[in-house]
Amino acid sequence: MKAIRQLIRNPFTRGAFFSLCVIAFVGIFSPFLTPYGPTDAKPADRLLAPGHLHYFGTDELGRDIFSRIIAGTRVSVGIALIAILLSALVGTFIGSFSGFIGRWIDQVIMRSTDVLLAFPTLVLALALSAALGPSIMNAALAIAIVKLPIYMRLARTQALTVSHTLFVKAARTFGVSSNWIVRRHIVPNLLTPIIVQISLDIGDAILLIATLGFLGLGAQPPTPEWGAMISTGWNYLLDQWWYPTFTGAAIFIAVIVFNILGDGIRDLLDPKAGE
Amino acid sequence: MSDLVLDIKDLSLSFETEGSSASILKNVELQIGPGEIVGLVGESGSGKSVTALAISKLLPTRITKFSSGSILFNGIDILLSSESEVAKLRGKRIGFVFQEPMTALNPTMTIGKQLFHVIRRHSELTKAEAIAKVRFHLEEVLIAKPEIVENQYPFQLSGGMRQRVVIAMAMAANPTLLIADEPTTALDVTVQAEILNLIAKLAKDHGTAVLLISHDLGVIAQSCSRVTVLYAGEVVESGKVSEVLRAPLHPYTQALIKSLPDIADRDRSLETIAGEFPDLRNRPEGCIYAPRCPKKFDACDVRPMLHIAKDLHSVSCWGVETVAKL
Amino acid sequence: MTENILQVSDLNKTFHFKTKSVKHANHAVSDVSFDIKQGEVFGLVGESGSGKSTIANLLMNLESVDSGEIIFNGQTIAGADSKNVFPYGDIQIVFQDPRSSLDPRMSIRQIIEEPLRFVSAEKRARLSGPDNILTLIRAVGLREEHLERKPHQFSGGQRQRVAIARALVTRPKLVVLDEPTSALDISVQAQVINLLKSLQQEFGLTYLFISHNMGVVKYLCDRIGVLNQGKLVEVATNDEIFNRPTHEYTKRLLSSVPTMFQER
Repeated sequence: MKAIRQLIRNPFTRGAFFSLCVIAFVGIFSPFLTPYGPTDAKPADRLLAPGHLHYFGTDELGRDIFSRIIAGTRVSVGIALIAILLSALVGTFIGSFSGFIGRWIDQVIMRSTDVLLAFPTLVLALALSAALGPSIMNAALAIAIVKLPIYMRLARTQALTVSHTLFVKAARTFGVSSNWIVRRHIVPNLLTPIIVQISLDIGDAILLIATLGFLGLGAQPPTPEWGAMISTGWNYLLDQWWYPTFTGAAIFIAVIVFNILGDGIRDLLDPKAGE
Repeated sequence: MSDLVLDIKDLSLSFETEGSSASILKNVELQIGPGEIVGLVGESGSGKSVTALAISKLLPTRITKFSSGSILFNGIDILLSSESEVAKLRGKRIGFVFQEPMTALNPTMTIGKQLFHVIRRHSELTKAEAIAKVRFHLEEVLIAKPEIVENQYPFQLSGGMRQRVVIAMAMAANPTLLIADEPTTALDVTVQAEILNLIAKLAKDHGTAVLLISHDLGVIAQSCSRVTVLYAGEVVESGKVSEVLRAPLHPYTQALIKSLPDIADRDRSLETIAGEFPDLRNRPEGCIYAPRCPKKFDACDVRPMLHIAKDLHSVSCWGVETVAKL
Repeated sequence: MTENILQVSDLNKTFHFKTKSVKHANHAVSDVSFDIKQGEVFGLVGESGSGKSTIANLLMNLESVDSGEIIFNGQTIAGADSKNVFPYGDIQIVFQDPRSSLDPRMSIRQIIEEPLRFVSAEKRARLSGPDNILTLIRAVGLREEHLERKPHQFSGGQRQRVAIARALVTRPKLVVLDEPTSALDISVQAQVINLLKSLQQEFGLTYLFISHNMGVVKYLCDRIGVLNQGKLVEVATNDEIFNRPTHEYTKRLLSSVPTMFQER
């Protein structure tokens, strides 16, 4: 697509885009890329320093950290993706309907988003996660709920504008249902800011999952999840520096990549260079 | 003639963006003497608004490339002047009226305040004198109750009233040239006539020259003494309004007038112009109108030059006999 | 004998709003009555605030009528006795601005087909074939390959042609045209006017032509209604309106139009 070509022009986004490809590759093909099983514990090899056998060393149970990071990609990035996409999907539809129909439905939905937005993201995620029970899917659900009001509000604002366009007025004269108008006219025309928001939110979601994992909510052992790895790992920071460091770097890189991409996509899609 | 208010000679410019270059104006000629009301008529893509913006250096500098010609405003070479020099002219010696009055009015300020600021900016009057002048200018544009309007906000006024205020602001500094780009297009028909009369009256009272840009031939006919017809960035015909509109020489002008439904026979189809607008990224070699011209012949493969056909009536067409080369 | 395809009687529509807790009533349409005969072009002229847009909205069921009746093709579609479902597809509208009346995300084919989605099953069966779309696209002067493109790839005049094709896809009996050429260049306007005229004959259409452009109205319309601030001040034939106008407002409207043909 022409869009990708433009992204590649800027050196920053070029790097981010290629990193994204790498991350995607790793995530998709991780079972084939791990030199060792990510959950294979070998207490005899515990806490080995990075070397040619174990690129990133081993953890306190002798598991290869490199393999765990690779396997963790699916967990940390993949789940973040699912959470955000779920949030965006549900939020966009609810928000579009709200904006299009208006009246009391709109008021009710908007007040509920206000309630959700009143809580700091992390606090809400923690509360939900704890209430739902510690598991990776519940963590994803918690994040999806936390991000929901953002998409609802974004979609609603855009829907308000689109609702007043002449082509929506035209559709009304054909006798089409409200459902049709929202699905066919409103949502496709507000995708741009939604896509931008998604790409920016993924980085945030990765961090949230890691934070939840770090606190013991979210992925449970032995699932390799970056945050959980740092949670145990940082106790060993002084003597076995490699343990949390590489994982931390993975989180850092993933978040930055998505943030840069998000900015790039926003610059690309928002002020559209004239036709 | 050195006392021309506006003297545009041989102006050519293009817009250059990544990869492509579009030739927007080519060899444009336009002269306006003091107190004259001159019309610039053309359809979309003709370059009429670009010409207006070029006069006061309001085109985006990054992409605009001037390839030839000059713009002289009262003898001052605009193209060679710096931005700060031209900025001094804008508002003070060149006034602007655009199609949509809300692009010139601040919705959060009262009319009186906005007019006050303009007056103070372009004159040496004291605060008290300027306040009195606000009332004066509002009366000059025939606003019935200036003492009320002064304290109103733009949203409280009708389209016609807003445009009157914009005209008052444009004329406040007593400019030498007023550029009006489609000033009545967004207004009702009955209001249009009033606004055009107002512009003509003010121009006469103050001796202001006016460049009136429009796609509406009726508007041009009502207010202008001379008119220049633009097609795809080139001047195809120019002369007295009565001549050009009543007895047009260029096939494009002729076709334009013939396509108006106003006096067409109801039982016949309207005359239309065949073909399509040229691609400005690939300006054709010969006459710009030739691909669509029913009267084209061999000579049209070469670009005609603007030449005088009758006194003060010039046209750019090989099919018209010349009196003298321009 | 030509029948009336549309009968509007004593139509009223008032908009209520408040500014600073003062209630205002805008009588957008006051006691408007007129008829449109099958096959004619009926013009509705007026300036902003005249009510012409409101009348279009009322006819298209975009707004509800306060009082009065609209009888279309013998059926009451608005007003006291109206229990009838609005005849979607039998009345269609072409809007003024071709740049925003087409969904930028849809292809031309999808745009033209859309009105067929919600008409009666019988009609849909009859008109849904690819032939119908092809016939229409050619009838409005465009080509088959244009069908898969998006609106932004076309000029204003071309987009308006698409809007016209879309209006005709359901084979309507009445087409409301709301300033269809006001946003177009002079040369394009002539093409679209010619198109509207030929389509009328080809498809046997009746037009309600709303405009403030007296030249176009003079050329196209058989009968004309003049609106002033919600009231219909004069309804007469083309010849009568332009040569022997009776109402003051009509005379004022005609005399203030800047035209190059004023001195005759």
